[in-house]
Amino acid sequence: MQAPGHDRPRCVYVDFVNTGPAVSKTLRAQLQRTSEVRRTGDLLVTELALADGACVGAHAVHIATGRTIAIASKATIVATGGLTRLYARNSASLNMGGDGYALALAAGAELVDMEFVQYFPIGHLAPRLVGMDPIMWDPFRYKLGGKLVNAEQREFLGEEGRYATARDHATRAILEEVAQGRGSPHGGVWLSFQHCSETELRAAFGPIIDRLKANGIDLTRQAIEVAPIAHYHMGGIRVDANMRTAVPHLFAAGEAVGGANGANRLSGNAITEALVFGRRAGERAAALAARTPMPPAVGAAPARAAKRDINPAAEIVRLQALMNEHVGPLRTQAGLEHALRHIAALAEPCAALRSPRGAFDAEWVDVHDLASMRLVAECIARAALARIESRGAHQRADFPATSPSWERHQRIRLGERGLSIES
Amino acid sequence: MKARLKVRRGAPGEAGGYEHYEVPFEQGQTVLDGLRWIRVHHDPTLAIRFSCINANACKECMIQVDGKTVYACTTRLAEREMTLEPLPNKPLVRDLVTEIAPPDERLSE
Ligand code: FES
Repeated sequence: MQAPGHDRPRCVYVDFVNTGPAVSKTLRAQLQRTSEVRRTGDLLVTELALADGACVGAHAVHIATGRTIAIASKATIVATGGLTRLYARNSASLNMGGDGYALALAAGAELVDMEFVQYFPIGHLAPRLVGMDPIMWDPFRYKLGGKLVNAEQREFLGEEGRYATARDHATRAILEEVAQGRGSPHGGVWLSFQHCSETELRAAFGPIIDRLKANGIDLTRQAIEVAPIAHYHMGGIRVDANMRTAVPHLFAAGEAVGGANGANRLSGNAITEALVFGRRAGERAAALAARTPMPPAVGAAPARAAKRDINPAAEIVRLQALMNEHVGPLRTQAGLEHALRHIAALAEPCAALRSPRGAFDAEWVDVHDLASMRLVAECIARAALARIESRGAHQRADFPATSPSWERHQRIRLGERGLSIES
Repeated sequence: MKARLKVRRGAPGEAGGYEHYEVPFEQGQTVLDGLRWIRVHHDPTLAIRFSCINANACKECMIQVDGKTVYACTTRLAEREMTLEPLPNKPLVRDLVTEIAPPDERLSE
């Protein structure tokens, strides 16, 4: 398949909608066949353990019991995915709050390109759809084209039914339609497959058509509403060609890594990135582990005092709305500064992270998540404020041009006095 | 529209009991939406297990609604009282959370 933005057909899919699930199923099956690999669930890593500046394992909380656990390790790989849960409109699962970035930063690693958050232009918006991935319309567009139209029924991308526009351009065009008052009722635009017959739809997406029907959606009779949703993060932990971070014995792989996709990833490149670089990180970490003696487990970090005057679940929702509005696809100096003030005010309640009070302390998990999300949100907003140009997924309404002098990366570190940016 | 959710709370060894919540919703919203609404607006200590939220991919959100085992993320809220309980055939962790991981993926002592 030739996906939008690619100059030749080079993308491979499994039944179009099934690529991710099929890949994970295969990987899981392989893992289960490898008896040396032990998988343990319900562990939330709260801190990487360090000895003489090198990573020697991790501290974790076992959520089901609330116990703290020390894990010793010869080599550690951060493979925690991205940060799209920071945004109100997202395609994220609950674990995408960017905690891997926060862990790596705190351990002394560098982050890179944090300002480049990719929005997926045609995320599902309305009517409410359950049991289906909000990015499901991408494969529909690959196969059937589809018409993206505004409230005036005009195909504002000029695609003429083809699916050809790269994600950053489509996102901006949709937001522009909404800003000009030509959006759909829920604040997106319309995607229509009404030109396709029931037979064509069924031939292309048989069982999915039934699931849509169960959701009360008949594509032959109605258009659906779509809008840009945060989908992928181009930035992340800075690694070398061997996937090593700046911290000895600490590697990173997958979306947690920054820099492989520039300012705007093309569709079809995320799973491939995870596979190619995941393999490399695994091989390098295994080779290092083979010549490293097992370090002693470092005792768990002492819990800090309890202080609870916020509802962390509500604070997360507020932060997500703020990020979506001011640190999302279209940014301005005033908006970014506003966001940074809010983020700074969250520092104190987050610092009061205590230990869990017992089995499945959901509130503690939220405080933990809020603390990582706050730190990572600050990284994005600071890097976005500093980059006074527009490039790929980073668009500044006040600096709309791409500037050759900004053809460089920004790197972020966490020190005694907070975050520092270098470029 | 409002749904009345009667939610089983508590952990093993605690007294536990049912708590009642009134949850506003729009047509099409799910029981998981309702539970997340309660956490944001009333009580962040309410324990529920879920991950993918929308895709029905993680299969972590299984609970009982009115005595039937369902996914919280695909069951629609309705304008009536709905009774939410943890899975009866799995060890209880807290509130609606049960131990669902296969034994070899649990933390060993
Ligand atoms: S939340 Fe993932 S299946 Fe329900």
